[in-house]
Amino acid sequence: MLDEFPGTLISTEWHSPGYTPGDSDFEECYYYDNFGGCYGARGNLFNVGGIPHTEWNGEYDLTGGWANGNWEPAYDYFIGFYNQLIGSETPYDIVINGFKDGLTVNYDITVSMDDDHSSQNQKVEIIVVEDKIMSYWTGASEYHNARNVARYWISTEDLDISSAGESQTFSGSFEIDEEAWNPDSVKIISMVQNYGNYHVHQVQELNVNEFDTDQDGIMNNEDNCLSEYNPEQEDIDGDGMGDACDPCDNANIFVPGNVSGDLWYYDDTSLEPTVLVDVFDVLLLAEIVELADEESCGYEAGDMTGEGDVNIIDVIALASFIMEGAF
Amino acid sequence: MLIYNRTLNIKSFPRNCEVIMRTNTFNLISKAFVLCLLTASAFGQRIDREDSVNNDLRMLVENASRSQQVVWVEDFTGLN
Repeated sequence: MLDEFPGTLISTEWHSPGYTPGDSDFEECYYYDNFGGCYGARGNLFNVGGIPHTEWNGEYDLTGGWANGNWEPAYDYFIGFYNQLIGSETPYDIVINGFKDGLTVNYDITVSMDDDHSSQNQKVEIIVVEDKIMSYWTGASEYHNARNVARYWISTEDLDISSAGESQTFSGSFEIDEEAWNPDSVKIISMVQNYGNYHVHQVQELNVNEFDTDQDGIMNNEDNCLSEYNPEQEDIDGDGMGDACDPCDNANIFVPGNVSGDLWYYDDTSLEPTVLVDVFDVLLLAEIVELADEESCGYEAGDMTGEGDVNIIDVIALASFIMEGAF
Repeated sequence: MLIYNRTLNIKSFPRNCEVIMRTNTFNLISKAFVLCLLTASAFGQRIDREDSVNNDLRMLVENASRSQQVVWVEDFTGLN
């Protein structure tokens, strides 16, 4: 059901160090800088004594286990809790966004309000979890698909807003521990929680590989312009860089040979310009080769041999084409 | 003659024995039937019960999903 209705029922597993086998790393969670401190810190909020202990929005809890990992007897309780909670209204909305650069995750978590609510004791918590870790559960003699295992409790921030229409953004960054975590399964979970009664007022989750920095509906790993809103993804020259952020139009301007990008009009009646390729393009291409300036628009236009690499052969080829009157 | 004798023998078979046999056969069949009924009923209710609870929970989550309501469940747990 967690996969079937994502973003509706969000779970987190806090693993007790006392019940974690030596070959498991489930208890390895940083509470700020405190390695292995997550379970104790979180459990203290709810006076967790025995496990398993489930806590529903910090309002309802159930402690106790059933033989062989059979949770079905607990469903009646869960349904009751869930029924109570989904009827509750919240003034908070949480949007998680950011940018992933290699193993560095830069996040922005924005909390907004559509109704007034006191900010007293209201906190925003930011937690990093690793989803879908298969592990063998000896007690039940079966494999357990651990969901959203807490890995890093980054921070607990004061929420200062209290009126409808206000918003507050919490920004930061963290490094993905590539050796310990599966980078494909790392999520950020953020919530608004009251530190007077520990009730959770809103919660949201997002896989760090699903950021949509420019919020154009295209996830970063598929977006041809990461920070420019371009939902249509136009790319006239097909170079993989969207028109909205591509400084080089390789279809109309920086065509092969026109290293400088110069255009000219044939006469006053010409409606469309045409490319101008001359000796200055040869000189500029020679400079690009010397500087190995792969970022310039002329680099791609200077690949006269079509090898995907620009070198002195391309300079000679361009000069030859011009002398032959090929342009 | 032989046929006659057998027929004669059957006809002379004590009537109470025939009743006892019929009664025993009926009891055996009825016991088997009741046993089957009880077994099916018991297991059927068990499956229905599990399905029912699962379906109830699924329906709640589905309805919550449609109305964009979010619930967070924290599981304090361990492995053994």
